[in-house]
Order: sequence, then structure tokens, then C-alpha cells
Amino acid sequence: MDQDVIFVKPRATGKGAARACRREGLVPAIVYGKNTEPVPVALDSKAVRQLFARTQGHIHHIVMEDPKFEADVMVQDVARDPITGSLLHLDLHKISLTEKVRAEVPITIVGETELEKKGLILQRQLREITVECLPAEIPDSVVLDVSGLSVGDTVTAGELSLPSGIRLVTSPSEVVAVAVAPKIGGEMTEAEAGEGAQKETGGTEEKPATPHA
Amino acid sequence: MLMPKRVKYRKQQKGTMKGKASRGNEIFYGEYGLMALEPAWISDKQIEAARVALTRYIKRGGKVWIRIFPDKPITKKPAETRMGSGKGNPEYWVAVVKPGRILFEIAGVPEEEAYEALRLAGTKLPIKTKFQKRQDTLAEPGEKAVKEDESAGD
Repeated sequence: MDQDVIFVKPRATGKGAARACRREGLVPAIVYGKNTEPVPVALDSKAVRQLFARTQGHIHHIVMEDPKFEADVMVQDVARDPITGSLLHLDLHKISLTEKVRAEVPITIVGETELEKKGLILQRQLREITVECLPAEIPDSVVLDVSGLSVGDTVTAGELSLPSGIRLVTSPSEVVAVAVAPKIGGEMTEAEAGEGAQKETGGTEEKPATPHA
Repeated sequence: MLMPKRVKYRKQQKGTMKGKASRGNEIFYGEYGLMALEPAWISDKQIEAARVALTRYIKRGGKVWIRIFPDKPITKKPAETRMGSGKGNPEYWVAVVKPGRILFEIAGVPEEEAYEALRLAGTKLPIKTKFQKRQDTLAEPGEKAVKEDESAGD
């Protein structure tokens, strides 16, 4: 398990204080957990971005020097600016390394090139699964090999191979991916294009609510 | 064209488009998406034109999702009518779009093809748009490739 140490600073709460934090290149965050009071902290934005860019590790160790505070945390939620993608706020969940936790683990697909060679497309329905295990055992990702799939084959969450000691919380019958054949055809007619719109959006040919110009 | 099946009230007030999109601002279904960078009312005709441009370009393979729905009726008074005598008649439908909103999503096509298809779709819309790629990690767009040794040098 990769456990990175993040140095944090105390911060004041409120909208103005949070904005002041961001102007100084810090990311406001909150640390909360069982049997502890929430602690508002600020993290160095650049360090956090670099950490997220190089690791998929779920557990981090945060250290604050004044006042003294240390905790093992999981990144519970990340708020981003919808346009720039820059970090706005982090929710850090304080955890105990001896108690089981639930975590979202991404599914990594391998063998997609072989599938494409067969002329098939992989439709992904589920991109991450929820697992329950000890914090030290949380896998970085779950690997799914799709090279052996043929047309119409479906992989469900229950078919994913998980290391021992890890319980799948996501419903085992939930579909992870389906191998489908691409629609092959020439130029799409106007009628086909119109039909597509209704299928994709669930529209019907019922009488509209108001007369349309 | 897209429109609601049934509405509770035939006419609506104008409303405002303050702020950024707080919902529908992430790519959820597909691999690539088209993001709005400006606030606007996108009409049913514009959505349809963009969808046709998108589906024509990716004529084989791929799947398209339309993430906005025109559910706001816009009224208009007839031409050469004196002011007064109440609000006009519903003429068309619009989707209220705020910056950051994902308008279309696409999957099952190579990135270059998705980029060009979404660019063409964007030209049918009255706003500036941006091509977006799904981000599965916590890393920010463009920061995925940062390596240990590079980050140490900063």
C-alpha cells in the first residue's frame, strides 16, 4: 500500500477564508471521522495535484505541526471547478487502519486492442466497484481482461477476480462491460437520424405539450 | 425535435443563468464530451442540428448521448401586434445551459474522430464549447503523465 505523507495547515472556516486559502495556492479541506470533531485544514494545491497525478493510493497520512494533529485519511470527495478542473475542496475521511472500510476501486480494462482486432467495441457500463476491506488491502485497481470476449458477451461485477479478504459491495449481477458489434452502414438517411434521437432520449411520438411552430 | 410530452404550466418566466453548472458537469456515460463554456438558451432546433452533425460524422460505430433537454417553453407575440393583451404564445423549447455543462457525450470511436465530431456539433450551437475527455483518476486534466522524478524537481 502506498501511503503518502501530506503536510497540512490549520485554517479558518467560512467562504471568505476558503477563498483566501485558494488565493494563496492552498486547497481547503475538512478532516472528519468516527469519534472525532471535524478539523478544517488547508493543503498545498501543487503538492496535492502532484500526489493525485502519480498515485492511485487510497490512504494518506496527514500531519499538522501547530496544533499537533496526525491522522490516516481517505479522500472521500473532491470538489472541482467544472470548467478549469482545478481543486476547490477535499473531504478527508479519518480512518482506523484496523477497521474495515468501503472504498471505490477503478476497473482497469486490458486486452481491448485484441477486441478491436476482432471488430468489436467494448461498452463499459461500470467503471468502478465498491469493496469492503482493511485499508491496507485496498487494491489500486481491479484488472478485467476482455481479450477473450465475443459478440454479446457480458461481464458482471461478480465475475471480477478480487484478492482474498476483499468483499464486493456492488451487486454481483451488475454489468461491467458488454462486447458489441459496431453498426456498419453507409450514409445515414434523415429518417434514421431522426429515429436515433428518439431512441437516445426516450422521446415518443405522443402529442406535444404545446403546438410547435 | 425534442420537447416535453406534457407540462404543468404552458408558459414560464424568463429566469436567470447565473453561475456555473453544478450538475451535469461531468462525463458520465461516454468517453468524450462537449462542454459549454458560456450560459445560453439552446433551442430544440440547435440541439437537433448538433446531433445530426455528430451522428453523420460518426456514421459507423459509436454511441451518442444528449445530456440536455429543452424543457423551457419560449413565447413570442405575433408580428405587427400592439403591445399588451397578455403574454404571447409558446413558440419553441429551449434547454437552459450554464458554463461547465456537458452537452453531448460519445463513446466507441477513436479520440480524433470524437474530437472532430464534437467540434462539428459545437459549430451548430450559439456558444463556445470545449472538447472534454473522461477523467477516471483524481489527477487534473493534463497532469496524468506526471512522474515521480519530474514532480521532485518542482
